[in-house]
Amino acid sequence: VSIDGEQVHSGIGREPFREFVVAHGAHLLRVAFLLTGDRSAAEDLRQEVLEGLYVAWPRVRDPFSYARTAMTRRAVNRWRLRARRGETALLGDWLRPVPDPAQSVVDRSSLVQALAELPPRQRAVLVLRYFEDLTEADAAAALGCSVGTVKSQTSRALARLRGVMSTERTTDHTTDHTPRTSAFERATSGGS
Amino acid sequence: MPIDDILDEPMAAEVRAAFTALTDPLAPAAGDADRMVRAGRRRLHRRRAAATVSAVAASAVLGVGTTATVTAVWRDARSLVGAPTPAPSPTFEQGPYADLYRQPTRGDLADEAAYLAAVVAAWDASHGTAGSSLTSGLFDDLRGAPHVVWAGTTPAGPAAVVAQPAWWAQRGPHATSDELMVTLVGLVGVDENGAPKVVADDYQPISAWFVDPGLTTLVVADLGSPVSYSTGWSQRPDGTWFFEEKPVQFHDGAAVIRLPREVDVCAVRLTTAPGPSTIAGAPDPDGAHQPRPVRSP
Repeated sequence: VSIDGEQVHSGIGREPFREFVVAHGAHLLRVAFLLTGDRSAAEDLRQEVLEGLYVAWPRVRDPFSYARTAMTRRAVNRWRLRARRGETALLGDWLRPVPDPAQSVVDRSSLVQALAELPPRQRAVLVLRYFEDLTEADAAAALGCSVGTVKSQTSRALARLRGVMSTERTTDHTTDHTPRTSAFERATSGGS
Repeated sequence: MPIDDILDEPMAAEVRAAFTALTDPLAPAAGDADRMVRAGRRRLHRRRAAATVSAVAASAVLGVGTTATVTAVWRDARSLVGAPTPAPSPTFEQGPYADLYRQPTRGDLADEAAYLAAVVAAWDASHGTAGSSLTSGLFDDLRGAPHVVWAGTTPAGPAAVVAQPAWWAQRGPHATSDELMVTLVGLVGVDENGAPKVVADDYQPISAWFVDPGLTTLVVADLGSPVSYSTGWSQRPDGTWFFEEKPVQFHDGAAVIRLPREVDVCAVRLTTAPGPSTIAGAPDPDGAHQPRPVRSP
């Protein structure tokens, strides 16, 4: 079969694609979840990108970077698509209890809520920098923006989070005399 | 270490930990890889069918329409399989910004030749300096001349929307098969001294930018679709909450929005949904979308 002059073999010779999904599928789901804040949306985003990767597989040099880049850009653009459908909220599963084997939950802590409320691009920058550990230059390449934009978006996002946490701790200090822990520590303390 | 990095590091560590905690429980369902292979195979079949139908339809159209349709099909198919890049046309006539090139400069500063020259100079200089999109390798092939789409006066100083075709060709370790002609659009606002400065540029169809470092004034380019904006949740004196979307009023190619000081700039949202509309109370019954007080920046 020929598409645009390129020989493409459906289902034949795609075992490497399957092996790629086995090796990286879980991590890509986690990245998608952080980008979207919603489990269902993350599943949809990852599948959409993996379908495209399957089609493009013969020409893709670095499948993981391809998938991550495609997911990031789609997630950043997602708010506009949601807006067209009349959706106004960008929060989702991030603010719902997420059970794990130890039955711990991520509650509605100030930090998690603040992360969920960040604009999609700022959130994407944080995901690329602090979950994927990309350099500023690599994050810029993945987002399709300048290094300066990555720097400014990172700085704004962290400043906003810092402000939220500062307010939270000030409030804690004035109303609660128990030993202070961060909102994140409380959020991930297994409900204790 | 820069002071900003010192301030950011503790927060970055908390973010890292939060991300790990949020995602640790996540895992794909059993049979995930086989399901993805089947989904990919279905996508490939759909694309084959679509490419065939589109090619037949294109062959039945004459003149300019033929060129446009065939080009669209070609771009779609090429983006799927990453075929070798043909020589790009220097004229970019497709995409969400296409109309921007077909109109003269608008705005109350459209006839100010000296200002327009300063805008173009700032634009050209920005894309030749470190930290711009150019150095990331994404837009090292700008085509033609920059076009000042709109130039006008705002409360934060003069501003201009600029567009220029660019050949998108990713390189480096994160390269994908994306190679196509795109439009780089940006806003020339003002720096701390009031001089023209490119404050943002992007290839995506984003049409609103803050003019000034203080984030007090928004310019929204008129791309032909209605746009509404909101400034987040607000609270009435009686304690009830509401979320209001107001229609953006365009004039002569753009809208200038001066944000009240009490507005949280992080809560500003623009949508293409028609306004006005007002939502009362928390929109999500499970409480996931709790309103919050308006805070000062």
